[in-house]
Amino acid sequence: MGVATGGALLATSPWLNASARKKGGELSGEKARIGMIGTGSRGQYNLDLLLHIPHAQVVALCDNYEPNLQTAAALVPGAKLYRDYHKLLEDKDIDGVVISTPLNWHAPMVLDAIAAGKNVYCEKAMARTMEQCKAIYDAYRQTDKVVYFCMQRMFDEKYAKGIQMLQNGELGDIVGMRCHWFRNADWRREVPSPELERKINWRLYKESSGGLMTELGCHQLEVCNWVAGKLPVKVQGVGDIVHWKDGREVYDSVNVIYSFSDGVKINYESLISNKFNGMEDQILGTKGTIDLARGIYWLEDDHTQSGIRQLLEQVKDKAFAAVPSAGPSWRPETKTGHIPHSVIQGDIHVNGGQSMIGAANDGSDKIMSAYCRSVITGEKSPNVVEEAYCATILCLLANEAMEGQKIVEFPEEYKIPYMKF
Amino acid sequence: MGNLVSHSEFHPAEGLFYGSVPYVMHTRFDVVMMSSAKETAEIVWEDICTELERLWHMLDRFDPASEVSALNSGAALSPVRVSETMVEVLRLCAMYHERTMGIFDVTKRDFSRVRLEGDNVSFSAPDTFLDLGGFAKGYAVRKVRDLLSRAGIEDAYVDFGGSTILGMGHHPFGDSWKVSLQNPFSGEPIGEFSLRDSTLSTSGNTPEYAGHIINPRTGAKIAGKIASTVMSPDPLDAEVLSTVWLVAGAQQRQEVRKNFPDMIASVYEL
Repeated sequence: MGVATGGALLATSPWLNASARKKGGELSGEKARIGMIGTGSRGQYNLDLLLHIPHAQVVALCDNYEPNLQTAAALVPGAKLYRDYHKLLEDKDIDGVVISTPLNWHAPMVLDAIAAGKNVYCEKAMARTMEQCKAIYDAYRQTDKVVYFCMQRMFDEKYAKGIQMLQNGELGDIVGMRCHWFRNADWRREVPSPELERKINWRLYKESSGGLMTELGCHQLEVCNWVAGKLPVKVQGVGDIVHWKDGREVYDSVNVIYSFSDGVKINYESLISNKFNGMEDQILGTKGTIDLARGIYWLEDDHTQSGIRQLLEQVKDKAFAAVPSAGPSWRPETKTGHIPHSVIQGDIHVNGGQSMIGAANDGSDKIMSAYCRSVITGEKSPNVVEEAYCATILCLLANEAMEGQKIVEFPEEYKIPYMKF
Repeated sequence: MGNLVSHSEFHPAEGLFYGSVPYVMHTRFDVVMMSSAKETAEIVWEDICTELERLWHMLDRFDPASEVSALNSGAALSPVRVSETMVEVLRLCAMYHERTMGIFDVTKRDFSRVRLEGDNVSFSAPDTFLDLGGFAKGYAVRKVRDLLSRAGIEDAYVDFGGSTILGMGHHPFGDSWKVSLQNPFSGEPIGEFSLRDSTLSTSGNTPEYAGHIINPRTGAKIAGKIASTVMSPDPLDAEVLSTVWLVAGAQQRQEVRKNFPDMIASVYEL
């Protein structure tokens, strides 16, 4: 796989674009009036982000689970409270909504919000089914409102810079991708009363959840698409419930292989009964490897080392020749034993991916801030919806492949003009 | 041994000891010594590692706990008492400053702001920082050479990050140690040097790392695809002068050359 051209990658890097156009769009004290749909753990995380964004004002909260609604209400005195999101959408004082609800609710809520003339920010993944994703994509194409999905890696500086390195060819041609997410936790939440099981533990049931692929893999596949500048053409995989046999329906162990048209593959693995390997987004190049999740790269060849090795061989062979090792290299060009190089200087945050709710400074704050700005200016953020669509479709295709034990090709009916293969 | 990660191997048939530290002073360090006595080589290797680690933690301005960091954060406010080694380092810096007509300047601005009285150092103005990046490896290689000599090792090849290479004595099958210079932009060899009790130091920009060499008189960064080499019997002279050579003009080079008659310097357009 060659490396995508500068223009294409910059275009998919709103973080870079945002810095470039910052000056033109200063906000003059306006605030985006936000209504929150869903105030559970991720909703409260998002609420906290919003409360720290100067150009945002949370004016309404909605949840149909009273304890979560009251917890959020305590943080935003004066916010209007709703139990039915339809009612919130009728509220004329709301410019935009932030949706943090179970996956099966994304499509109805996003579509209703767009229909009600609201700007929309919704958690990933895009939706529970491919049909729903396509319906959202079509509605987004029709509306003049801004639509965001929480593709926060697109707003995470270390990804943008790492991808810039790949784009510069510093790690050679891309020949493989290995992404994984390991945790040792059951994903289960305490349920106060049995009839709330499916509502609170929605992640565990197929009706409301795509399991590890949509909850975790989605972010990582988005990165792979971003790096490749195109999408895989087929997927195969194996999924099982290996350890958490507690009545759940979604896999707790997935191994998936996506193939690009040129044979480059994404190996995706997630397991939630062992956390040894943590979370990594490794891009493998002919000259080196980068883990975008940690902002660290390793080079394949160590030229200094190889010079010295040549010298040792010479002595063994009783030969005398020049050692090719001199050059200006105050900085380590390469190191033996694959000692890591940091990509990024400065204030960079790396998270181990162990939190179910979200990590600090992972780009979520930046994308939320960008959304609130867009609500005020009406300026759409390029590619966020498209990337969310592509990544979610890939997740759902993997589930189809695992459930059907078959190789699934990318379906024609879900291709959009944005995609390259 | 200290905390440095290191690797070593002894090849008895060749009477060769190879030691390497993959990461020290932000680069790597390799040494090949010719010695039939494994134990002698191992002991000197341990001493080398200890010395490298000591100097790194003293001279690294990126390490907040280093002695140079203590100076950078405190010496403009009140005098800072320093170690014997740091006194020697600063005296050497002053000497090179003078002998290069001010071109070698570890403050990159105005070395006259650095005051050394006994073992007390003060900076006469705020915003004064020492950057020993163009000094430390040469200084360390000088120390390594002394350790090797004292241990009775006569033939050795010392490579500090590719940019400072010392050849002591000669290759077992040659009359010197030969090394070729690589163009960092193309990877092509662009020069070959025979080192016999001499050090080759290279300075310049690389694709990954450009603009780190600054003319202290103008504050301007040295840009472009350019490199310099200096070969000298003294590792520290070589280290210091390779940077000076990139910055100096033709007239200045002539002047500097008078003060260092033993060195051979070149500049390469890459």
